[in-house]
Amino acid sequence: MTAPLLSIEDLDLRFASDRGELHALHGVSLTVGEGEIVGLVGESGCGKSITAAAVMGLLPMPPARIAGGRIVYKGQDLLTLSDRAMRRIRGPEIAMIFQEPMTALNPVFTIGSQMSDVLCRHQRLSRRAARLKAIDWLNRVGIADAGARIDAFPHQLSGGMRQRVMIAMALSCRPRLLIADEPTTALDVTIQAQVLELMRTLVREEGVAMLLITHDLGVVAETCDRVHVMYCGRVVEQATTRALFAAPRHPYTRGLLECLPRIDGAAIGGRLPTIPGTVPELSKLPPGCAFAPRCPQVQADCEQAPPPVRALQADHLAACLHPVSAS
Amino acid sequence: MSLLRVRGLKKYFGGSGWPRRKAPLKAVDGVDLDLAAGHTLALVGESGCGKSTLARAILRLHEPTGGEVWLDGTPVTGIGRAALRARRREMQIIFQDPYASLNPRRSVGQTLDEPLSVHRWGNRATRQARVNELLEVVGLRPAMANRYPHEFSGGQRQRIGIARALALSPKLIVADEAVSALDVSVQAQILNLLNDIRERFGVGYLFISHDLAVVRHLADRVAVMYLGRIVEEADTADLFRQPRHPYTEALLSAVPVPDPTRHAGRIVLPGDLPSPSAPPSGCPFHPRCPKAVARCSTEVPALRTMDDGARVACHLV
Repeated sequence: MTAPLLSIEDLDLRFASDRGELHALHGVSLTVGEGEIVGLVGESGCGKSITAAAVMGLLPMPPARIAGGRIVYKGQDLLTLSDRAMRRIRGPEIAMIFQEPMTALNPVFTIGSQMSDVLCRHQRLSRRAARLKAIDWLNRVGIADAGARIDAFPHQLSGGMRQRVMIAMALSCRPRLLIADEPTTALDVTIQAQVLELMRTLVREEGVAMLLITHDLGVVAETCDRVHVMYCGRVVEQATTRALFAAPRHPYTRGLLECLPRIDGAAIGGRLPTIPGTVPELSKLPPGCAFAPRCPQVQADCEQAPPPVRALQADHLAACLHPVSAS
Repeated sequence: MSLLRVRGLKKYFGGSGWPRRKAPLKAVDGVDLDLAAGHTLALVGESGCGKSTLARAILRLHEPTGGEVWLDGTPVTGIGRAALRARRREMQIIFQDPYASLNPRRSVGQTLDEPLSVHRWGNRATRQARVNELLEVVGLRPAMANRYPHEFSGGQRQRIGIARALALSPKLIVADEAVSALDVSVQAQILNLLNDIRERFGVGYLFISHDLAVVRHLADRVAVMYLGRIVEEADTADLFRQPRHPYTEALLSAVPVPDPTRHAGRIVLPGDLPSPSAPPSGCPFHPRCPKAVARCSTEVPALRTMDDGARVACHLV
């Protein structure tokens, strides 16, 4: 087996705060292979976005501090790189798109000038060549009349179009890995369908790997090859998308899938299954499994120490001492 | 008799300014709705379709430009301020963002007491008892009345918002994206609570949401809005089984389903939502409609009632 494109190994991340150090990531490990689409799902505050920010080297340090682990991209540990070296990774190697394209784009420059900046810097193109290339990319992401739209300011575009511009900008430098942090969460459902379709097509055409961060299990099911589920700063389960949705093994994953109202289910109405309680605060995590206080099948040993991640089947891992049976 | 009856409701913004007369933005343009007591009518649509404006116009939080609203057989529109204020007991609203809709400087007890004291409900002792009762109804402990909003999680804050809406025993509760800001595990708890409250107190919900799976779970009837008008309205089971308007069909097919083995035919609509300040001619959906014919671009389709009581505004149905 070849080495994965990106491999996060046992990442331990902490934040200084006035209430002491907050332990945000407790040994997160995940891999993304060449050309693979990997999902990272979880509820607010589980650490999925800061995992992505850590890969991109976007965390302010301090207050953030990496207390352990490695982020290996193409064989080199990104955490050991200088700022200068990291700037050669961001863009041409790893690109990122964010949830809110209005805040990711600069409101006082035209989208053409923002796209050209990126192309001039990383592909060493002239302004003129960069502009042509930018128009080319706007066409590829389905922006009608790209030759005129390129001189538009971000506020003159709709939310869906802005996200298309972000995708064009991210892919224009031919990265090998695209990190997409909730790319369609702010969009309406018909626009989300357009943008997801576009991302899937482009990523496959360009052979780019994608790490898709989302809270929406529906988006994961139809986009990703493999999924990691996070809870309270840990990956609690990882599997192929089919295996995870067919037979979730961690009680948290199963609970999440069960409590989701379904558009395709048989039953309408009635009571939804729930996960009791709420996500614990980072500063008040229990000593054992973080899900133990809410878990329907908790046992005494769950409260001793955090359960290690172990392989339950080939390519199906879970951090649970008493996993849900596979049948 | 319906609990809520809305006829020809309109809400226009702008349009009459000096010195230039600009065309008004027709956020809600002639909406008829009926909601029976103890039932849930969902209002769905994408951002800017006018669903929140419609809800606010019904409650007269926005003064409607035209049309009539009756609650329990008596008018809400065309009455004076004092009379309206009295009627507000009967209709309450739950907002989307539980962080923004509670006053951070007031304890939960004070927040829940406010609607009671504004409407001169009981005396201090009975109001105190009512606050405790409300907290229990929404699954919180009466001892929490002394705490402040920042001490609660998002789900708990939404419970407080629901308790505040219930304080005066309203007949109608408008829930404007009430579960949209919540994580799924908490969302399920709040949906169950809303169901329990409906069964226990017989309130009617006007439930506004962009999340069709949630709507399917909670609503008895669904109205789909597009650019300020209702394009389809039907019983929930019928609408999800057999959508009749092409927009409803596309909207339903666009929802991502948490099942990787399902490869349903998705209708990907071209283009963006048109701006309500410059709506297309004819049927407002025709520029994006995969089934549009020549007539659709010239003639506005009327909202017609079908044999089974559903209403659809489409020339092709």
